[in-house]
Amino acid sequence: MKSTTPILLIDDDIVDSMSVKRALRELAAANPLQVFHHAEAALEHLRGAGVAPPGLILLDLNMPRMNGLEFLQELKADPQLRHIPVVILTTSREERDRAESFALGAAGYMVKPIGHDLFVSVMRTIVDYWTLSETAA
Amino acid sequence: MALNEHAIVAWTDSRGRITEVNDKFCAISQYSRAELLGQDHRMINSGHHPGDFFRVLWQTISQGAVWQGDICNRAKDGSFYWVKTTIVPFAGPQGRPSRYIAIRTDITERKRAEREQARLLGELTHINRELNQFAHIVSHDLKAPLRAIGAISGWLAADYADRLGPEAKDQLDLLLGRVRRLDALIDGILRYSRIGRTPEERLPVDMAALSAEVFELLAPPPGIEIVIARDLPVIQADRTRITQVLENLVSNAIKHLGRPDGRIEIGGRTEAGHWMFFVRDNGPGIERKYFDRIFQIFQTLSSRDERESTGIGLAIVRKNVEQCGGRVWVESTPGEGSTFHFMIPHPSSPSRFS
Repeated sequence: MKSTTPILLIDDDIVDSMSVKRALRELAAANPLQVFHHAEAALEHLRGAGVAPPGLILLDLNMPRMNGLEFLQELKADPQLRHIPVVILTTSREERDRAESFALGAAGYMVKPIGHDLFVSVMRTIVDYWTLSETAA
Repeated sequence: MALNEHAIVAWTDSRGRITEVNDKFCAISQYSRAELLGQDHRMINSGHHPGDFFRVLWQTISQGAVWQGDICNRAKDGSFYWVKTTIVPFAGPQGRPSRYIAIRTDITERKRAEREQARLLGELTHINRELNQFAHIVSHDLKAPLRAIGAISGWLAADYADRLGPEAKDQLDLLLGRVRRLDALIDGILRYSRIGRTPEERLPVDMAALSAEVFELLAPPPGIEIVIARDLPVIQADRTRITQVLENLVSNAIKHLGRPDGRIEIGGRTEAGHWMFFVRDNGPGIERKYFDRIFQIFQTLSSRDERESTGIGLAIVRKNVEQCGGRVWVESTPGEGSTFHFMIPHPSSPSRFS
């Protein structure tokens, strides 16, 4: 992923979105961050004409209407979008959520920590890895 | 005849017409002998069984084979009763059955108990599912606002560092500490509620190897003497549960030792019908009046401000041991140390309760 490739965040929690934004700023990651509070809106955006696909999707699981797992299922069933890596960023430590996320093709699973410093270190791990890793597109 | 004393008996001819019944048959069906003779068993048909049921029954016995099964019948007053039934054909001159004897035992009470058990099991499954959902909701819905409080107080401390006095900074630190504590409590509830939700898997567990692993994982500070009895048995148990028991007992011992030259010992042996283990420390010990309370969820003996502790560890120990059908208890002398004992029954042991 290049430093100019956008990162897409889907999270209905405003403070969590602010945490991600702030962490990226502190890490001096130049990737533009696109934030969606609803999974349907994100899907609609991704399917829009002439949209530059994000290099990475950060996905919350517990959201009203379409939840994270439903979004993941739709994304991975779409031949145009299935190559985009998705990292789950959630509060859930439930074994079921973890197992299902990976079964549906998630590239990673991170539990949102309490406290900003820990949040930054989680984000550093994600950004460092995906900046180094080659992507499909 | 002993049979008449023991069972409900009826004879029929080749077409199933009743030719003879004993007193027990009359008693349970509430029909007199005169009412029954010459009739067939449709008289006491409850309508509970599908038509196929009796067709198979007739096919079996008319071919000369014995039929066995449970039948629901209806007595004269309309009440239902269940009978465990054996029908034996008797061959006539042409080799085809000419008579049948039906021997029955009243199992109405057993059937009622079975139904009650199925109902209770259904109820239990339902409650369990609700509890599962509850834990899930707690993890998501309580944690999101908590994380926000933690995040924003951290930002305030960072963004206004030059404008906040030392008192305000201390207060923000206290706030963040409380957020972490509440987070640990929620995690504790979740861990506690997860015990027993996964099916038990009984495999050989080498307690000596497991004890060594637990010490390695928990890494007690240097200077603490660790003793693992050399002859610890290999037991048959659910490894996850036993690991949680040892981890919590050992981490408790480490946390509460309160001396640099402490000593923690794991011992155990095989006894008739069960295995006995203990985790012993030479820490401050526990007063007798607290022996029960320490195993209750969220009970701590020191204020949470003195020592950061959720009070979930021993509750998790007890729940895990009880899920294995065992027991856990403590012996302690204040000033000398504590010994936590736990008993795990052999899989075949009748003393196993769950």
